[in-house]
Amino acid sequence: MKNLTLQTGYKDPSSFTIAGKGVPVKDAREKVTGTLKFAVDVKVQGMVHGKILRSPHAHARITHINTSKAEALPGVLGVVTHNDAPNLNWENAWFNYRGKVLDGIVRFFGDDMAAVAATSEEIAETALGLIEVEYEILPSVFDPEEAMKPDAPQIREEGNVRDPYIVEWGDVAKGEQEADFVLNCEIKFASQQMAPLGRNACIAEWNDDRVTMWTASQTPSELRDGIHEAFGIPLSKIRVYALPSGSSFGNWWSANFMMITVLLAKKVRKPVKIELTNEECMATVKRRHLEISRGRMGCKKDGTLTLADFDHIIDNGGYGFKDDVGFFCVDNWGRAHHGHYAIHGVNTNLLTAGCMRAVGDVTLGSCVERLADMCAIQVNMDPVEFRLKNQIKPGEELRMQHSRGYLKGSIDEYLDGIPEEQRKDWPKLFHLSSGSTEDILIKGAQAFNWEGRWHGWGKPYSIEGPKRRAVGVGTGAHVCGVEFEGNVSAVVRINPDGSAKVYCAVGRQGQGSETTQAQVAAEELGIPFDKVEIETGDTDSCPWSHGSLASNTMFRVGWATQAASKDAKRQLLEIAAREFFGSDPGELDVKDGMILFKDNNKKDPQISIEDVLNHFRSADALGQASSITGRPTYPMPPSSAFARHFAAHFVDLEVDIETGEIKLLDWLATQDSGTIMNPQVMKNQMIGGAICGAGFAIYESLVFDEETGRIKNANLLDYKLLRAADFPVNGEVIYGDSYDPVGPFGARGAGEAPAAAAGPAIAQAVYNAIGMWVDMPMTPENIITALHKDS
Amino acid sequence: MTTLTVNGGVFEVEIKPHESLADVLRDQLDLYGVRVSCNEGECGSCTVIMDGKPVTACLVLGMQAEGKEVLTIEGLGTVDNLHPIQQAYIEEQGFQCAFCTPGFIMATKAFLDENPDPTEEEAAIGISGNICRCGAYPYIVKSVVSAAKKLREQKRAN
Amino acid sequence: MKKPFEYLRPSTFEEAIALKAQHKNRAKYWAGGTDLMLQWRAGEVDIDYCIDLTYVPKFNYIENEQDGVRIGAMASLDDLDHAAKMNQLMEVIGYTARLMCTKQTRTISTVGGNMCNASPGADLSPLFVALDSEVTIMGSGGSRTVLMEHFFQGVNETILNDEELLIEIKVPVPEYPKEACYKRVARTFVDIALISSAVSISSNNGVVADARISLGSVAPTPIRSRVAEQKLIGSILSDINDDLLEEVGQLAASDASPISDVRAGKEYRRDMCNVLTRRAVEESLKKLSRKQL
Repeated sequence: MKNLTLQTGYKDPSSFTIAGKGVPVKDAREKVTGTLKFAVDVKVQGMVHGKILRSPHAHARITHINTSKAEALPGVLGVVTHNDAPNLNWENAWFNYRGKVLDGIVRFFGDDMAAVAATSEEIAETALGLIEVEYEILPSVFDPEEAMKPDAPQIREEGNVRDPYIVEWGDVAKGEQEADFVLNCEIKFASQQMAPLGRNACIAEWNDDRVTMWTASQTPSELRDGIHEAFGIPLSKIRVYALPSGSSFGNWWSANFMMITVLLAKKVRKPVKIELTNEECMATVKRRHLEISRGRMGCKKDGTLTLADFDHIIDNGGYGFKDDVGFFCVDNWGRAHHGHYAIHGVNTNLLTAGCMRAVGDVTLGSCVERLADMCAIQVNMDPVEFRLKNQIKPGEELRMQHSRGYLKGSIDEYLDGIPEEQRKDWPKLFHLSSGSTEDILIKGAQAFNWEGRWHGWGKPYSIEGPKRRAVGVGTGAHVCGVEFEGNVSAVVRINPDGSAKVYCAVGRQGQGSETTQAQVAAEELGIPFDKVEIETGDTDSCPWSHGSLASNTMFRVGWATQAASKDAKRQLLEIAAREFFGSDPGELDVKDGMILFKDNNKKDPQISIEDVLNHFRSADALGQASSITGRPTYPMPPSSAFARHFAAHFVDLEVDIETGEIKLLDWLATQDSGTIMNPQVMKNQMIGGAICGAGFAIYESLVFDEETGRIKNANLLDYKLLRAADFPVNGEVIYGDSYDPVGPFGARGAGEAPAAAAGPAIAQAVYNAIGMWVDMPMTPENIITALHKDS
Repeated sequence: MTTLTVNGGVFEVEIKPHESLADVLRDQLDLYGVRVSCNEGECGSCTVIMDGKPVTACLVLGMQAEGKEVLTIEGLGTVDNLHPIQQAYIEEQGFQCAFCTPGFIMATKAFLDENPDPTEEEAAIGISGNICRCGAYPYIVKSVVSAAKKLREQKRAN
Repeated sequence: MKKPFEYLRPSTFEEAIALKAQHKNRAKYWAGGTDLMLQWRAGEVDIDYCIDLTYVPKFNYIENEQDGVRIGAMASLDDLDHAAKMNQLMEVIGYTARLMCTKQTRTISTVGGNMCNASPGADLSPLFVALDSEVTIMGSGGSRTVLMEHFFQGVNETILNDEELLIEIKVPVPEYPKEACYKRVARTFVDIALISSAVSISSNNGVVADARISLGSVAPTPIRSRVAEQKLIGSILSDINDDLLEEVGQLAASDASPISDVRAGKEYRRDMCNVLTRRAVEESLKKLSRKQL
């Protein structure tokens, strides 16, 4: 079974009171009545409206900017340009953005140049047209491989090309020698857009030298840091209220338009609201990288993988700074004896690119899956069997550790100073602690009747006229949060009436964090779920957290919430033991809001938390009853060194070989995420991930203008999103059976592996239907083009 | 000034000719449950019911609502008094971020008014005028079918 | 740049036409407005007045009359969907309407507005052409009737002068038993047609008496492929085999001059002319033979 940490403590799932239950999310009633407030709904008294002037060029220096006519327009309160902006770089999480608020250089079509504040949006928009700008046009580059050449136009002051991020083990040459077959492929991936519903707005208000911001963000703490960096003001003078967002997928972390709002509000000394249009949301904030995967895999006749060798390029667009993507496929397929993965990040004069759901695993991951399938075809092995044979199992080494000086070096730093005593029950680092694709592949294959429906490689199970039907399986993995750039924390406070509140900086983009974190706290505290509330977005009260990215929330923030709850409970029980029970606090526990002896034989009465704290009130010289504030008191194991979550998706689809249209017929999403804290939330994450991945696989891609890099389909008419009728109504889910040794009550991360597994499942099913691999997006036209090339 | 009938109430509002009904409802009547996302009639988040039929309010001129009865999510049910459709969505968890949810619920009402006993496939087609980017579709479909059952039972009871 | 406009609300079509005659190109008729609203937002429409037609009563009729089905300009696309059971041609029209945009947009959009917007990709346009539909147009000087085939003049261009208003579409009763079929390729479930083929075939005693093949999204307006039509006319129904269908499809494709755009490439569009025409012809013939039984 399960490697357990004494500090976290194992609780038998059969005794869970609220963990594991599919309770409605805390904001369910607000959601169905339309009373949940999003950033676009927020109004602040006295606020004015801002609009951003956007670059008509892909790369240019502003040589002259005249705002006088705009400022003279009645209703305009002020204009900001790069001349108003501080000369400070700010960064958002994970190197997704680095730049100055405005610096007079534009690096992609639509980049921010200036902004106007006016009494109405219409006046602000009219004023934009009155700003006069002169440019020095700079040469631009859109192709990532062109941008890597030494003579390419340099977009960043640090240069276009980041140092390669390399993971390697064994010896690639040996891997080739040991192989009976070495296969290769090259895939160019289009850029996916988050296409978030809900748009976003930012409101900033200055009071003297302090600023308050309201906006949707998955990363409240990082956003506050960004403001601190961009404006050089102390963190204590910044308060961010991160609001729930619409479907974000990484779009709403911290964005430059938020910084511009702050700048504009400071200039005009009134609260400013900048509300983005849908086009701005899709074309000026962020997107998934354009990626190019070139890979080789070697395998023996018996299907053993001897080599995994991949070279992967990601374009960072204008302001991204990433040198890596989360490619946990390297771990999932790490049984390959020898491996080399290299990631190359490079800037281009396109919209800034960065992390979108399951970054790297959606793209590089599907290249790995295809090559693995090609090997399986070569040795005539069933793809489920091939995955069972070659994918990582608990206890095995995580190959990701072998990145030079990065992951392992940072982990060493992390471990430095944590006494051995506090580490002794940790999982073995750099090895997979629990979970894998094994259980879910077996269960999934059975539930899906894989054996009955899969007729062999490239063999559809049904041919009717031009329609071919076939099934496919795909797997995906991703991390459960990473500890770099700062650890996550949480605070739990118990109120004098026995209710409690959790404070943890996470995103609320529909992944149920406000509910599952409260479930963790309620389970640990022993307080009824209905009495546990949560604050997720206020940076004044929530301790620093990476936020909701890299599938961080359930595992790492959940761990912190549990640890904080333990600390709060300890403080509570110390008071109760001393004031009431005359016992050792360790003899007591809390159940359903009542404090009692753990030992069922002791006949002493149970006392409610409220009674304990209120009775104590007059004698409470230290004000302890009202200030029970728990926080983690022991170190969190470094999750990136042992925790992964896994998904295996089975799909049945039909291809019309005359029109190229794909129709999804059936879908089974399986997932290993340890304890499922809330099945109602989890099933949505799994199917939601499937739909996100399926969209990327079949329909979604940004189209860039060849001359200007302008995004031609930044709208929902031509950026195609799946509808209900495009996805099987009986999409089912199955959960794996594992209990994480570290995650709260055995729960692990969940949001991203399903997005990574979907595309490969569809790609393989299409291969089985028509006998060929088609690159994504597999639009009807791309299918027909591939079929014609073949004939 | 123009008179609009919204959620059973009569309101005098100042409408600029180019203003959409969605903007009028949000900005002048504070009905921010009428959610605007794509603003091009694709996503359906702004769906309201006008004279019994579903419309994307972002495409309707505010002036074109004069003399008609407009129903928004706020008029359908409140946290103290949920409509059976809203109840069904909660039970089936037919949402994630829920920005699209009011639009889906209004589209559901209009759909069920015309199709009181749909199969899952029919329901999926019926509410395909709305987009859920989070990808809750199977659970939205279950919400629609469950809502249909609740409404049929409610009708029988009356 | 978006330019605000004033709002006018006539209560009859005559009033509307008078207003349009007065303001000419500084005014636009505004029906459902689903296209106009987006065009205005994109800064493509510069007007001083919008003439709201939605308060003109009684023009949303769909009536099955002796000489054909008469569709009032203000009938919505959703109304067309609901009228599908009227006869076998309305069934195809209703089916086609149901493919368009979303339920919500179909509720708002009028068939007249859709025709006047004259998008090269509008689904109903090639179908109306294939059904030999007629359009009644009213101006301040009276009314005239034109074939739908001549109504479209270019991308977003119609035969209307700067005051005329489309008031009715008629789908005439065919001389011989006629069946029709509309086929299109699109991406997701809700989409604009990437390319489409609308076919109608009339038979007289087991022989193809007449045929119409109208293609959408392969030219600035819907076009008829007369060579493909001629290939079918005179054929004995029971003799029509896969080879003939393939020929018809190829001929239709040869008449198309598609462009590549953000939605699809021209090669794909041309290839689909063939596939979709073949399928539409095949299905129309199937319906005819079912009828003859």
